[in-house]
Amino acid sequence: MIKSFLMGLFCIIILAPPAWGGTLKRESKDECCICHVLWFDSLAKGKTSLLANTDSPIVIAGSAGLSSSKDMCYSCHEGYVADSRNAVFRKNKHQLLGKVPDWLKLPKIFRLTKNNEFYCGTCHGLHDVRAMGEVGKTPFTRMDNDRSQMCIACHGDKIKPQKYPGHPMMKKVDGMPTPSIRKKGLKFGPKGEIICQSCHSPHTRRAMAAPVEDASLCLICHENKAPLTGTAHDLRVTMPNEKNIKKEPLSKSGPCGACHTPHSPAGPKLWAREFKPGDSPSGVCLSCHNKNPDDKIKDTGRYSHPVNVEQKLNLNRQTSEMVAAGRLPLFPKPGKKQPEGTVQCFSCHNPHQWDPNTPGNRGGKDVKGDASNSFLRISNRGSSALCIECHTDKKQLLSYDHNMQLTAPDTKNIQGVNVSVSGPCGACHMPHNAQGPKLWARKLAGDKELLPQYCLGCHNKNGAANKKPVGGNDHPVNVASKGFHIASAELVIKTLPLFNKQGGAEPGETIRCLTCHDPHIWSKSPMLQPAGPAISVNTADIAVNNIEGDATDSFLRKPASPSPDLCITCHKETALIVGTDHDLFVTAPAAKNLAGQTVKESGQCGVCHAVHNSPNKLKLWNRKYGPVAEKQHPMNALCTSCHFKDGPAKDKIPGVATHPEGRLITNIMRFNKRRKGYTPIFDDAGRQTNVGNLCCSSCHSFYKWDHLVNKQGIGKNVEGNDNTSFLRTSSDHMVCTTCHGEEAIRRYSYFHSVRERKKMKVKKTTGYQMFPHPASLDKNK
Amino acid sequence: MLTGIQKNKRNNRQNLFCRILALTACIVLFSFFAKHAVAGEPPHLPVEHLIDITGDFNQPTEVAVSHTGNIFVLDGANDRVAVFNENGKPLYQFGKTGAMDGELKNPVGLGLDHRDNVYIADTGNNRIQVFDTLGNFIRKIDLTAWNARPVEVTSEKKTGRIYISDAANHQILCFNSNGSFNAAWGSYGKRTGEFKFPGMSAVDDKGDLFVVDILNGRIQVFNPDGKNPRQVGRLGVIPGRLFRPKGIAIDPQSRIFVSDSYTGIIQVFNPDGSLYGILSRGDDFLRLTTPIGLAFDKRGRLYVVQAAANTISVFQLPEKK
Repeated sequence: MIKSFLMGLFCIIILAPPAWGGTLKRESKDECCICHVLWFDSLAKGKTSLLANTDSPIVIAGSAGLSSSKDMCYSCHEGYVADSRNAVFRKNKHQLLGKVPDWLKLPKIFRLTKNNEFYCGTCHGLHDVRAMGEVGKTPFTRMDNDRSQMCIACHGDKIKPQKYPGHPMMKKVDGMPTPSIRKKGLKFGPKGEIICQSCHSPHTRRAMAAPVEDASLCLICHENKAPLTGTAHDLRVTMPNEKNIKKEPLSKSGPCGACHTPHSPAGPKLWAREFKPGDSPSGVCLSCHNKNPDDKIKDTGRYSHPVNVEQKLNLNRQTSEMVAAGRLPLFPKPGKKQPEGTVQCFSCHNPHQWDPNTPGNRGGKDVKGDASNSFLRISNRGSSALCIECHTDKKQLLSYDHNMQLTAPDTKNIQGVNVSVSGPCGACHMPHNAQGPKLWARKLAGDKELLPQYCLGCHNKNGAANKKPVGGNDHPVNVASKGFHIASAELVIKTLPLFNKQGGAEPGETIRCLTCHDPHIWSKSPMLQPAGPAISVNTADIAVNNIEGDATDSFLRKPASPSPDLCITCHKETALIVGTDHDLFVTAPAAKNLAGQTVKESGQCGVCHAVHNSPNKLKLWNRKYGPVAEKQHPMNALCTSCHFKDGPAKDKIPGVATHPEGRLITNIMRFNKRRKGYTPIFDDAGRQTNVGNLCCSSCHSFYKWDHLVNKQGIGKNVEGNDNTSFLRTSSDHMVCTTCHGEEAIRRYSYFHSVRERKKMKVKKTTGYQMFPHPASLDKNK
Repeated sequence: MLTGIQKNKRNNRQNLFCRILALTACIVLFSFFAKHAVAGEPPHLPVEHLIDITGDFNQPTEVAVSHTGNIFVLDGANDRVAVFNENGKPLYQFGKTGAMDGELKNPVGLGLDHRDNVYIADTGNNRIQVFDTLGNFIRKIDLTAWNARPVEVTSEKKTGRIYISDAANHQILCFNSNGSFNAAWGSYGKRTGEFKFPGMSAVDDKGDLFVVDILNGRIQVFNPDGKNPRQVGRLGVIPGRLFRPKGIAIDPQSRIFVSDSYTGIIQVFNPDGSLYGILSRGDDFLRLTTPIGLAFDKRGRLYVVQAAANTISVFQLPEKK
């Protein structure tokens, strides 16, 4: 009986455990069997199996079982339950299967197959729910990976500090991520920081979250770089066979990867091309644009705008607001856009956008750029706004004659484009591949000195400025400044620069056109000076005036009226003319020179002298020669242009007569200006000589009213005496005494003073004949 | 003290109890063995391998054969349909990646109607697109409102009804021939009429709909109104059971062919749900690489999509005994 009972109980206990509810319910076991295929009861009982692979039902610690084999995963992920066809099972995916590379030290938490290969279960374990998101969307990773912990466990080298930093990682970038970026599927850390999964997705092609071949991935965040595609900087267009420094072809790197790499870059800016140690930030550009000196378009050339230099003092400094607004940025060494820094290629160029105003205009391989595109940050066409952004002091040019849009719209620079295309600055200057110094963009004759060609290239009878030619009776140029008082370095920098033959401003060198003229600044008048930093230049705001200049403007570095500041910088002693009778502001403000200018327009010097195109060669005289008697010294015609009976100085004419002609005088002792008794003798051309005839200028200096004091006039027309009256020196030291001895003063008085002459009884002496001046005789009658 | 009679009575009761207990154990034992009795080797159905069609596929999922014998292969991961003649020669293709009309995004299911119009479950775009036999876009059924993930579309040839398997909501969507919504059947679960990821489907001559219920490891059969569901097969890895059923096709004899993408075999069931046999080659089962889509042509040749092998294999079946 007991035997029967025990046997029955044994049978019930042993053979019917499921009916009594074992450790696993039937329903939950079915769920497990969906993957754990070997746990089906039927297999345990040795029934015919449909499985080809009857591997061990027990998962070997650290190795793969059937439940997480690739085939098991694929049996659901081929599209019907979940679709990982492109994400996991296509080519070029993350290393799903295959040997562990030698360099990788795999943490123990990651499992491998028996053959030491990766498999799905290497990273995933359905029982290790490390949710990044809600359950059901979890990737079931073996480690938390919300801050890329799992990625870094293997790929920690990607975040190690490098010489040149890689793409920001584990950092929160201001403003990122935007909702639109998240919408496109990129993942970020709990605080919005950039993590590995921001760019990478392990189950996509090449483990990228989006394709890089067409820049899709990069452009999700860097959407402002989208205009690069299709431009000449899209190397797929221009250099399809090019490879980056990691030897990746463009088909792999894509247009962004051709120049940038997020990990282990070769230079700043995540540079993925050659970059030499010590190069400036612009080295990234020059790594391509200085490779082929023969390429005059793509190469920067010998004469190119300086880079890696600080902005000069006379340039407009960028403000923080301007940098933030995307204006021309400066770059300190780390390469970030900042107000303080150096000028680099990318100060002017935005290498990612061909046309600053029309992002849709991509240019292309064979499209020749101009001032409106060419990857410039600001269009330079029309208004040269880009140049003016820094060279604010040149802004005046836009409104005046040197803006060729006004004066020579059809002339072309060396690139063959006219000013409407090149912009006013581009008519004469090219930032790259210029013809010579000054970034000259017009034709230069290489066998001639370059400096004069800058101006004379246009200012000749056949040039663009043929209405303003020079080359006739002009102020001398290319002459040494010795003898003048402008050789100090301070003056050169601040006022009138002198130039060496190479075109560099240098103290003690020679006078050039640019000594007196600043071709970019029409007038130094404070009224025309820009105030404060430059703002955007709008062509419509520029009032273009083709006006006739005078001594106050005309691109002069200093005004010559109402004070002769320009002239007296070199001709220092002539400053004494101001306020004297020879200052026509005082004595004849309405009198006009041959150019029709009053003294206000011409200045005190210009009323008698024309610096350019003087009608008279002698002393560049700008007035009509006065009457002189036959055989009289031609220099006297300068004086008598005013000092004659109908002239503006008709009250100041010699009393009786002038010194007789034909009396050669030797002036050896009195030719030195610094010596007392200086009494120059001039030849017919007005040059000082040692032997010749007296003329007015022998005794009169014209600008120094009182020879005893260096003092300007009092601004009134005053009557002179024998110390004033523009006499060069006291009479007892004058050249007259050489011949006339003590009698010289009496003779001078006789001929120059009516009152004195009436007192005298003139004797006719041997050797000298006196001829009364016709006007004086008339007056004395 | 108990008398001898009393002792005998008690012993008799104890014996009776023990005998009943032993009898119960025997019944349980019998039931267990009856339930787990080792089945015999299932019938092998030898097939003749005719041709393989390869066309630079990327994990194709489904195949259909037109009345003219042209073979339509849904090359879903390449977002296209490739068309071949009956000899496997490429004819043309249509579809490209995108969301515009005529463009596809990771499509999974394909079907032909009685006019050989091509119905595509454009899974990634949550819609059904209809093309003519040459691949010209005709119309679409937008399923965005259902938040559906269509993985299969089958056109019932007599009524023109369209059955769509919605893997997101575990249901069958039924549309009329004009594209208007008709009904939805099923929900998530394992009871009859419920689904765990409905997949491919087929309609027999009577108009009954056969739907692969993937993770429940069975085929569910509905009448044309979606009622009176019954099932063929159950979850398992022994003959007659299904582990990862994917493809389904019904031959002219109403036999139900079901592919199993994990085990790699194709089982054949009788219309009553009993196992008819397993396709075989030589002494072993015919084992294919991820067999998914199944289709017959009018000559009775069986077309099998081997997704991971990127191949469409064509077999000649034996005559029914």
